[in-house]
Amino acid sequence: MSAAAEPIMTEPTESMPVSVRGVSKWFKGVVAVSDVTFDIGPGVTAMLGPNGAGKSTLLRTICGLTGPDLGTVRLFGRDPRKDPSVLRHVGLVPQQEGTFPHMRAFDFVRLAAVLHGVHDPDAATRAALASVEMDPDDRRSVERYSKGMRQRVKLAQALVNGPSIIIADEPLNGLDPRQRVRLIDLFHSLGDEGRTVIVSSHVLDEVERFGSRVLVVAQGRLAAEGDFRAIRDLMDDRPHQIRVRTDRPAALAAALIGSEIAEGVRVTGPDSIETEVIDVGRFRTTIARAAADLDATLVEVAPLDDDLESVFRYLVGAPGPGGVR
Amino acid sequence: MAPEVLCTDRRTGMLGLYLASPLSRWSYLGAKLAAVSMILLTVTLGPSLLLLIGYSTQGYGPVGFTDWMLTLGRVILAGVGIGLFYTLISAALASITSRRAAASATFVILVMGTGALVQYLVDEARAPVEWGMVNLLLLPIEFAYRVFGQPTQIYYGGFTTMSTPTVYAAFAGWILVALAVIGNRYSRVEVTK
Repeated sequence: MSAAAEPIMTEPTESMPVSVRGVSKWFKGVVAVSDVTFDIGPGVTAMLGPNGAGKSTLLRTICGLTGPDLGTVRLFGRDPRKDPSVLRHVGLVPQQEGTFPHMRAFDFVRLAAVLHGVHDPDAATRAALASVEMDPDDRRSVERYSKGMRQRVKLAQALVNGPSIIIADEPLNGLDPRQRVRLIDLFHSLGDEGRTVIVSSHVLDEVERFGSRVLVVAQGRLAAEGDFRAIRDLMDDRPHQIRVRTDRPAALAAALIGSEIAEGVRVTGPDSIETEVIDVGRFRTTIARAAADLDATLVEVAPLDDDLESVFRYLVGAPGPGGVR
Repeated sequence: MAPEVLCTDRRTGMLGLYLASPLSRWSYLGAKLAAVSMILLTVTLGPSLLLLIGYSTQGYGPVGFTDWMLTLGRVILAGVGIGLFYTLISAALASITSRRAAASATFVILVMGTGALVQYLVDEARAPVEWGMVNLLLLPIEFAYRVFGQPTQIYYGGFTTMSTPTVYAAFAGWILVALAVIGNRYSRVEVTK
């Protein structure tokens, strides 16, 4: 299959925010990440994969929290394990509750500002908390916050240093729908500002809302990267499923079978057929010509499997994505 | 103290947030150990300093500037030495596990246990007095006595004591071992949650 895009092995450059080359990581004989290569530039990139696929390990490796057993990770051309100063440009939203439970949100975010050497930590803290709709003057300790509020505090501490690279591990966990929309908008605006935003998730509809650029991780391997619609187009060894709505389904189905363009054709209703084709471009020409010849009206020609969920299922080979909602 | 500051960070994931900043792991470790040492110094150095100042103001202190400075140096060396010794031993244990209670319990058992065991071995089983080198309870006190050039009040097997070079070597050896353990653990530390 050509969908799992062959990485172009180039040398990491200072202009490339995130460059991962041949990275493998294992823990006590268990392979968590296997020979993964990709580059991530400005904008929002969603990392999708089931629970246990290796997403968090990859993100921690990018931040230098875990060293790769093989391969290299570079942020702006620098190794975060050997040169932690590059982390001045990184903001991390960890998956787990890593906040100081007894601290106020302001104090916690301010600590992150100080650690990153922010010039005016008080002002930066107020701005970061305001950006996630948190009150900087809230006197309560973080442990008294709801899960969603703690998530937003973690995001604020990641934004406090104005990072060029923002890495968020399952940042929408625990948020209500309104907060999710708000945060997704925030990630988009950060991406639009030219920052590199990497967001992991195992929830398919979340990933689709983050944008079309995805990294699909399955069983520690990079199954695919890029625009998921382009990935689907590249999967030329798997027939595309297409629904055709017409006033003469039986006649059109017969014509398709006769043309040998279709791998299979089913009449699924009084006005619809579903077909599987390899060459979508040729199919569109053929169906238009057949409809004209038969004097049939084409109401709709729609792909059924170019959504992210279908792409994901193809890539990980799962009938229903394990662990993925 | 060391298990509280080191194990908690690893267990809660705060270590990840620290190390995802420009802070190097050695800066992080140095700051944490300095914080622990400061607390310990209030016990190992503070009282001795107060005693020196108190005696001096009452006219019982060292005679002359030179003697006073020499005594001050000994007070600082002994206080800082003992504080450093226990800071590093406890930090070495804390670097091995993320369980604060386990590290604390191991520290207490190690210090009290070696104290009782060595006393038994030398006094009852007639083992060589050099077993005192692994007595983590009394070795720092021995060290302080030697710094002050005082005859030790700690006797093994009747009146036999270790030589001063042996005490210094053992004291420095433990510090180096602790540093090696801490350095080894934190040079390879991986944030996995």
